[in-house]
Amino acid sequence: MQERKVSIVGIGGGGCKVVDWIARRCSGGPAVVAISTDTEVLASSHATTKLQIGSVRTAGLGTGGDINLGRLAAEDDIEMIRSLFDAIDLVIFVVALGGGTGTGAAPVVMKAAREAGALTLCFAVLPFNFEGQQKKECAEQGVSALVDVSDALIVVPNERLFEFIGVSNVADSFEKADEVISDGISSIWKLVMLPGFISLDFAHLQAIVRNGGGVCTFGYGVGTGTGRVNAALKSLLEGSLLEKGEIINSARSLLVSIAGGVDLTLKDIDDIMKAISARKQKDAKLFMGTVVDNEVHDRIAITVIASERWSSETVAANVEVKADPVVEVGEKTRKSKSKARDFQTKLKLEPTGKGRFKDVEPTVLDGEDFDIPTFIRRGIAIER
Amino acid sequence: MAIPPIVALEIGTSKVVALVGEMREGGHVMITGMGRHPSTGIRKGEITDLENASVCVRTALAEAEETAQVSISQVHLAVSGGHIQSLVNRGTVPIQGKDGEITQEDIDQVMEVARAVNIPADRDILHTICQHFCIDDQEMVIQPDGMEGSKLSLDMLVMHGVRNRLRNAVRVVRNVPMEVQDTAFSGLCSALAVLTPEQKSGGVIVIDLGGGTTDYVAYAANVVAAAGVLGIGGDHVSNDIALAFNIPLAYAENLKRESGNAILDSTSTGQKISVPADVGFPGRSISLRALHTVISARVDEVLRTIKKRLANEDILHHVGAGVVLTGGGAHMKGIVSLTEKIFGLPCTIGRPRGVSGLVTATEAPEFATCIGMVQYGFKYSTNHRTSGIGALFKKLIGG
Repeated sequence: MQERKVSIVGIGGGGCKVVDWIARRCSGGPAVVAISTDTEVLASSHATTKLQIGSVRTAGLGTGGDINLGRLAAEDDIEMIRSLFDAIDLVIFVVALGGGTGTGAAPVVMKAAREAGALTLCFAVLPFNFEGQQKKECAEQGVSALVDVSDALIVVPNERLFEFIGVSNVADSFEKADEVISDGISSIWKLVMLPGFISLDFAHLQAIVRNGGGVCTFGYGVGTGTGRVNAALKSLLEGSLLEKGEIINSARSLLVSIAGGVDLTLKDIDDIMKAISARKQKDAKLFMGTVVDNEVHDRIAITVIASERWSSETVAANVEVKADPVVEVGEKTRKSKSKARDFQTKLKLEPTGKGRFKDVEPTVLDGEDFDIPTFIRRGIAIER
Repeated sequence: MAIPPIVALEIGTSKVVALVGEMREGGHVMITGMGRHPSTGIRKGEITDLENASVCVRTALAEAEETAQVSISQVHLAVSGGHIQSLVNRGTVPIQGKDGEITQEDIDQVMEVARAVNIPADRDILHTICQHFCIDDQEMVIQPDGMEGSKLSLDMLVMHGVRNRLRNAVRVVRNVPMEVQDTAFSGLCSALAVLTPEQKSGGVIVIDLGGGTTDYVAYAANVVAAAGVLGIGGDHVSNDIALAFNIPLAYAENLKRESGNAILDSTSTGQKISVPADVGFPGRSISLRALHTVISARVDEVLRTIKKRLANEDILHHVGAGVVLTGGGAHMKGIVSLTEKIFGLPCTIGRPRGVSGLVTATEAPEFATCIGMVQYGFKYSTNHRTSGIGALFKKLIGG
């Protein structure tokens, strides 16, 4: 099987913390990159590659929650950012939304990865409720901006991780939340790089993400010891990440990764898949892969990425063919898809879109034509 | 002699409304007749097709005549349009009287001077509204009569519009055929219909969210402090929706009315609305959240633009009673919350006060303009025909 290059990229303070977990626990794994304006964050990171952006603009400090500053910092160093994605096939981004770098720089960085031809998945972490209303609104804005530049945007509300965190102090709460998220992310890249007996190769992942994708929901369940399968299923299907399993009911496509040690049995897998299948819609797509880690004992973790859409296209049909042709088809469709998306974006901005005000004198205030839809002039991305 | 009924006519972008009001015992106004018709030939509050517009007006007037059982010979016309603007002009005169006592003559003179503004040649004055007097250094004088000083000043709010466009509205009515007794700015009419004296003295902003335009009037310390129009209305919201999701305008309009929300809240997450298929249109499923995002962006922009204009004229500090919303747009879910968020002031939906009669007309915010026109027709009209634009409101001192 052709070797695929995978990068895990954390953007901003929160994102960098999560990828730090991954870097520490999975040495010899994929390239882990930390991007931040803050030199302290980078200094303490275990990432294999560290990139400081906006050094002139922020003098090595954080953005202080200023989204604009985050964006400008990324634009300042766009060349360096682009070079990160040379010949990379899959980039998994991790961003904590609500702050400045995460919300502001992430769209710029992700766009660069897309343009370089990589498949882009983004785990966007939403702030806890106690972090305040402003952060929440800022995070929501961030989601809208990221949907357009990622192949799949997996939204993880920290608020829903409380059942994994237990009654910890604040510092530990964030640590535990990061641990859960990093475990989930690992289950995805490991699917591609460390396959178990049921593999999900890269082309497959690409097809799944491209046909599903959009804004996805993250589900996670973990169990240890005897009865770990049931425990994992319970925490997955009754947890608030998947809204007590409601998300599975309404999903149009599901990607499931089952991670365990050498003690993972076919029966375990069967039980898990039966339980998930029972909850899903009859015609919803279900994809699954397993990850077997020799270092793991007595533990099972289930990660679910649920998408509310599925559009069947010819890409899926070509996936079963051997490596090279798949690459070709993949690349072609990937290129034409991104071309299609670019074209779509260009169409959106053309001033001929005036609808009923086509032949009427425009309302121009302060040099701006208000007949053009507000969402276009303000650059607000709309979930189609 | 019995006071003849007053007929108010509003030629709006989405609807034409005619109301017949009669004066009852004790000075009480009753709405006895109503006629309405969806508008065609009108965009952004201005006439684009005279014939079509006249047909709509004719139908509305006929229906009003029918329901009120009266014969209508003339109307009071409410006008709007993005071309309407206002400015404040200060006039100053030396006080004539030998002992410096201010007489009616002085007041008349200062009013004349305050009214004399230079406006572009293609424009006509629609209203001149007295704000406050000023005697020497003393500002905010309400009644200068009998007071003493050396010079008398008056701030006058002058509203003006493009002559042709104002005349077009009158032409439509004359084409019916029907006589126009007087015209007035629809925003002022709405304000007068829904506001209480307490609101006017506490300071209040009335925003009329119409189909083609958004009119606004701000009161501070009992006088009209500012007034204006944005050529942006409910039509823009529907248009934005149609363009965002590539659906026919009629469906966009329905979506706006049935599922619209001016704010984004948690209830919309993950929900979808389906737009049925039709000739030449395959049908679509739309994210409710996306719909609300499009609507919210537009409504937010309109309100913020008004806020900016009022801030520029230093009005916002003097508005304690908050914002009152009228017009069809006031029905939109979440609009009150959004307005409160943007202005940082309490917000309510304005409903016509002080009239009774046809319930459909008297209680809904979209009829505020017409009802306001009726009320003031009675308050300021004389038995013989007054002519000229703005005659009704010339001496309006915020009352």
